Amino acid sequence: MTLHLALLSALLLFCLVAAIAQNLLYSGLALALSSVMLSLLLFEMSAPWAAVFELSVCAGLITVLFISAVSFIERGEVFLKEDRLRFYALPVFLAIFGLAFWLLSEPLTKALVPAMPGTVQLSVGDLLWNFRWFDVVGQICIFLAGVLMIRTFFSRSKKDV
Amino acid sequence: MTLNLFPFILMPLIGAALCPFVGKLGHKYAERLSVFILLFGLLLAVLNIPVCAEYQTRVNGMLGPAWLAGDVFSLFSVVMIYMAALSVTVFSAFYKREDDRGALYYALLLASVAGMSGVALANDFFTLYVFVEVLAVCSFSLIAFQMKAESLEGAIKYLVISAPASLFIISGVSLLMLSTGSTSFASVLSASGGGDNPAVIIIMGVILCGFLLKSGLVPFHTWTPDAYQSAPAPVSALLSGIITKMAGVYAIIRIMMLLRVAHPQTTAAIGSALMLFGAASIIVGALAAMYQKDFKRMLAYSSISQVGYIVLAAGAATPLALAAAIFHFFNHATFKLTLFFNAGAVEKATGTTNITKLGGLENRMPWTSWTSVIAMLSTAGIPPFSGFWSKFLIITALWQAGFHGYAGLALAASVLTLGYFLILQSRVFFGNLPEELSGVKEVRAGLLLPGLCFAALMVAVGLYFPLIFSNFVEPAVVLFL
Repeated sequence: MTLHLALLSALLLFCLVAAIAQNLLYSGLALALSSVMLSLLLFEMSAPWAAVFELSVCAGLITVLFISAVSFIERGEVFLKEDRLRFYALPVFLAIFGLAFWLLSEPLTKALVPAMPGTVQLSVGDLLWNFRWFDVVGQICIFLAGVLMIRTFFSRSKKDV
Repeated sequence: MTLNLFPFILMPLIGAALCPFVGKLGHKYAERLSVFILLFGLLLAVLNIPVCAEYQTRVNGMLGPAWLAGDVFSLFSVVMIYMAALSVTVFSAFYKREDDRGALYYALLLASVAGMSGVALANDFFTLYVFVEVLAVCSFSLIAFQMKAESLEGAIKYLVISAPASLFIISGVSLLMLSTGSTSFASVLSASGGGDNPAVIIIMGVILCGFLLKSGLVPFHTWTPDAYQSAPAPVSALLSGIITKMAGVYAIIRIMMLLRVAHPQTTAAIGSALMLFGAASIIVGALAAMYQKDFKRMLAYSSISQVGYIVLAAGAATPLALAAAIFHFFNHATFKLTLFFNAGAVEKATGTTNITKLGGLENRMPWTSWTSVIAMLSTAGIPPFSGFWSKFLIITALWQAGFHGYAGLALAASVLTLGYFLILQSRVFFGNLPEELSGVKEVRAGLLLPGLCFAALMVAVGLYFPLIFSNFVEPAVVLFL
C-alpha cells in the first residue's frame, strides 16, 4: 500500500511537471517518467501485460515522437512572454480534487462495487483477438488518423516551400 | 441470416490508407476513390435497412451479436454518415483545387467515416470511446487543415474541450467496469441487478457529461462557433452535419434508449438534466444566432440550438420522443449540410461570409438562394418540409409526456429560428447588391449538386413522411419499446 501511494504520488508529480514545465523537452521527459510510474503501478497490481504496453508504447514510442516533434521547432525565432501564474493554480486544483476524491472514495466504492465479479484470466491473444478485436480495429483507425495528422501538418503545400 | 456490418468500417479505413498513395498519381484519383467507396457504402447501407429490421425482430434480442450493434438505429446512422461524407467529398472536389495536400484531405475524411461508423456500430462503451477518439484526431486535423491562425485556434479550442470530455467518458467507463465487470451496452441493463440504483446514475452521469461536452451543448458550446467558422466550408458542413452528432448526440440517444429499458427512475433523473441542457441550448443558440455577422458563425449557433432539440427529445425518453430525436438527427444533417454548402458557395463567389458586406445575391445566385430558403424553412419547422415533421413529433412527444413547458419552449424557439434565418436570408440574398459584388455569378454545378440533392430530399421526406417514418425511423426504436 505504501509503495502504491509512493508510486501514485510520483506519477502525479511528474504529470504536474509535464504540464507546468516551460521547456518542452523537460515536459516530454516528465511525461515519459509518469508513464514509467504508471507501468510500475500496473505491474504491482498484477497487470503485467498492461504494464509492458504502457512502458513500451507510452514511455517509449510516444516519448520518441514528442522529442522528434520538439526537434522540429526552430529555436530562437520567437519567444513570447507568457503569464505563468495560471500554471501554478494547477497544483491547487489537484489538491482540492484529491481531497474531494479521498472524502468521497468510501461512499463511492460502496455504491459502485456491490459485488466485485471474479476476474477471469485470459491470455493477451485471447483478449485481443477473441474479445476486443473491434477495439483493435479502432486503435488501427487512431494510428492511421495520427499518421495522417502528422503528414498534414508537416508536409506543407508546395507553394509554401 | 446474419448481417455483417463490419465492411462499413473496413472500406473507408482501407480507402484512407490508400488515398495518400493513390494521390501521388494526382489528387483527382484520391477524390474518385473516396466517391466510389462512399457511394457504394451508402447504397449498401440503404439496401440493408429492411434486412436489418427483419433480423433484429427475428433474433428478438436487445442488440446484435458480438461487438457490432446490428440494429436499425446503427445502420440508419451509417446511412447518414455515408450520405453526409459523400456530399462533402463531391462539394470539396469543386471547392478547392489548388492545394496539393488534397489526397491527405480525402484520407482524413475517409478515416473520419471509419471512426463515425465505428461509433454507430459499437456495442460496448469502451469501443465507443476508442472510435470517438478517432473522430477527435480527425476533426482536429480537418479543422486545422488550412494551417491558418484562425483555423489552428479553432482546432486547439476543440482539442481543449475534447480532452476533458474524453476524461469523463473513460472515467465513466472505468466505473462501469468496476461496478459490473463489463463495459458492454448490455451491462448497463444488468447493473445493480437491473433495478434503479444511485450507482447507475453516477456512472451514466459521468459518461453523459463527456458526451455533452462533445456535442457542443450550452454551456460547453464555446468551441463550436470558432471551429465551424474557421474550418473550410466543407469541413464545417461535415462537423456540423454529422461528426459532432456522432461524437456526442448519438451516444446520448443510445444511452437513453438503454436506460429506459431497465432503469425507469434513473432515466427520469438523467432525462431531467438532459432536458435542461437541451432547453438552454435551444434558447441560447437561437438568441446568439440573431446577433451574428458571419454566415458560418450564425449557422454554428443554429446548430447548437437544433442539437438542443435532439437532446431535449432524448431526455424525455418516451418511444415517440426517441423516434423524434432520431428523425431530427437525420433532418438536421440534411438542412445544416445544405446551409454550410451554401455558405461555402457564397464565400467562393464573393470572397466573404461577412453578412454585412453581402446582399442582393438572389438574382446572381438563384440556385444557392432557393436551396437556402428550403433548408431554412425546414430548420424552422415550416410545412411541408422534413423539419416540420421532426419538430412536430418532438413537441407532440413532450406534450404527451407531460412536459408542457418544454413543449411550449420548443414551439416558441421555432419562431426564433425562423426569425434569425429571415434576417440571414434578407441580408445575404435579398436587398440591394453592393457595387463590389456586381460581377458575382452563380457557382459551378458541382458546388450546387449536393445542396440541390438535399433540398429535394427535404421536400420528398416532408411529402412522404409516413413512408419514411414507418420504414426507417420507427424500426430504429422498436427494440426499446
